Amino acid sequence: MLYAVPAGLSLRGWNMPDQFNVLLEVRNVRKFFGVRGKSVLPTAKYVQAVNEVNFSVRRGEVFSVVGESGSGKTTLGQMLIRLLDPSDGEIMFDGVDLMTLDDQQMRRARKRMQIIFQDPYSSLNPYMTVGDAIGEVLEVHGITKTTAERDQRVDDLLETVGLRSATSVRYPHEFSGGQRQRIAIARAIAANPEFLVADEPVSALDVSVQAQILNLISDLRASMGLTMVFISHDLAVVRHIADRVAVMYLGRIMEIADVDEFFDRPLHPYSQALLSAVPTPDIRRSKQRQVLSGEIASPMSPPSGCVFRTRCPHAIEACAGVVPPLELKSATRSSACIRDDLLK
Amino acid sequence: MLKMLILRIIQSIPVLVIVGAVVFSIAVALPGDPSLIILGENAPEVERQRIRLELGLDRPVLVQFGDWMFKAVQGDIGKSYKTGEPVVSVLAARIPVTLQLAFLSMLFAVVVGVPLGMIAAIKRNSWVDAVVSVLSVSALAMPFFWVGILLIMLFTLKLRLLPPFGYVPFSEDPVQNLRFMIMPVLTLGSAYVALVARQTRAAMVQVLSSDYIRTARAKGASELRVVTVHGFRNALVAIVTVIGLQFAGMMGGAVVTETVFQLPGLGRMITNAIFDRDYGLMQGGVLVVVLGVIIVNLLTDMAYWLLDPRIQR
Repeated sequence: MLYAVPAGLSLRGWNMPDQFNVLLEVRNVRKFFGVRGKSVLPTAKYVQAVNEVNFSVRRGEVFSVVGESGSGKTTLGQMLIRLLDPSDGEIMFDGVDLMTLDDQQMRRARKRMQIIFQDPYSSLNPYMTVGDAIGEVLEVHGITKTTAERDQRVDDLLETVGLRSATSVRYPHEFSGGQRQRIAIARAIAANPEFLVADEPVSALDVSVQAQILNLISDLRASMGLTMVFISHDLAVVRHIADRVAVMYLGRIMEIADVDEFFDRPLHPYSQALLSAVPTPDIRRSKQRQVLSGEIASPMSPPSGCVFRTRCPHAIEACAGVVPPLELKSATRSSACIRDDLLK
Repeated sequence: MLKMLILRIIQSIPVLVIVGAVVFSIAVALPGDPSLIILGENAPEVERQRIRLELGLDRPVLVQFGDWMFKAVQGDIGKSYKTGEPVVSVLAARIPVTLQLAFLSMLFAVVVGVPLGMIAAIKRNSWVDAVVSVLSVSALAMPFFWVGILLIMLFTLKLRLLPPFGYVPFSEDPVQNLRFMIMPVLTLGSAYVALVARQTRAAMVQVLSSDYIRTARAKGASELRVVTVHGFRNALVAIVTVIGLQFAGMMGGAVVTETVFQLPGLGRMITNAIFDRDYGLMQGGVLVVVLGVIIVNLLTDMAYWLLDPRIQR
């Protein structure tokens, strides 16, 4: 049962014993973005993109973050490898708070953590050959010493992701979306990282290509022993690839659960609504579909108390009073909801 | 590459013919009679008639144009009405002056403007950015003759460092030549420093906010590498464009600058030719300027071809 202790626990002063083998731990992370108003005065308004997020990711697992667009999952993903600095909180990677690293240390640390971006079109430099784009990683980290060595390694990487090695002299615009994402994956694994953030890696691709790329990511994860944070809004994809799932809504985590449990019996009302929105061929189940009313609230002025209460079918008066903490509800999952009576 | 180059050269021929026609029509439409310029106000009608016949001005305009074009193609663009010198030899003396002025001004604009724009883009919305922006707008707003006069007041009258105007060919006395060139280059260059700085800033800001810059950072590339290899390299196409496009505008600035500093360049030659009703010289001068602009555009296109792999083939 050790395997299933949710990350929410670390919040309450627990230190994860070593045998849990946590690679990444996120503690009380927030990210606020200033919004430029019409006034000349300095920023007065903030968007709360990510708010008090806590979880940890064990070595070798695929931790999936799901949520609607605007829920803060991309912002969170970028903070995990410090492409964005959190406004507050700690990102512990292998026991070290990334925020304490200086520029040079951080750059060196990037060898161990990589990211696959959502858009394979804009995330590749259009003026750089594929070989140079991948080779840059090898050069920057001093992995290969000579050009010949570098080219050989680039060819190997391209082959690993299922592209012909001759592609290295060509430019990104000569490739399709799926091929570009393969190139991006080759770039991400070039330095042999331990940790990979995949930020909606297939959502910009044709459905027919999505499965290929997902399988490639699965294969690489297994062969390289990667630890992954997989960000997606596509629940079918998450079910296929994830070990554990965290649900985000308006910058906060609503629920963390093992993947099977989550899909079988979601706890949080928002999780339930998300899952019931997935089209199903089963007539009996489709009758129970919950349709959320309204739009996701504005992150500039989130509702008081529980951020989901404005759309929650089970909301009661008390929900407006306190922000429900992410609490352990069973041995294997935690949820941020005060309506424990619903659990029965 | 060669194919594209040849195609572009062929494409520029109609441009030259059209410009030739426009210049020729303007010369015809301008008030004033060359015969009066040559012979003076009180010349007898008989003499003036003789001059007109000599210059071929009695023929129909279309015939005059055809004749002029026909000779121009063979490299003979006529004689100066005023001095009788072949236009080609007058131009040969004038072109190097303007070429040097334009080249040095562009060099100045690039050497100062590009780094300024880059710093402004990297430190976007900081006080550095604000200072560069204010300086750029001021430099753009000041007319060339005004900048020129201010410079003369400073360097000649106040500091007594530089001669106010004049010219010596570079081949005769390089040091003196450069002393004469400093103020004209600062005058003409200042506006282009501003243009280049603003364009560089805009291009860099756009490039630096793109996704592949984030990718480069994620790779672990140093900030210097991100800004130069990924940032500047990709902003270069836009910067080269503004430099190429501004060359034509620079010819206009050269007219004023050469007048203020008494430089015997093309710009001043064309101005004088217009005042003198020396159509032959004026046509030749304008034709050379147009040719220059066409060549620079061609070079700009070739620069694109070298800089952007997506344009190739």
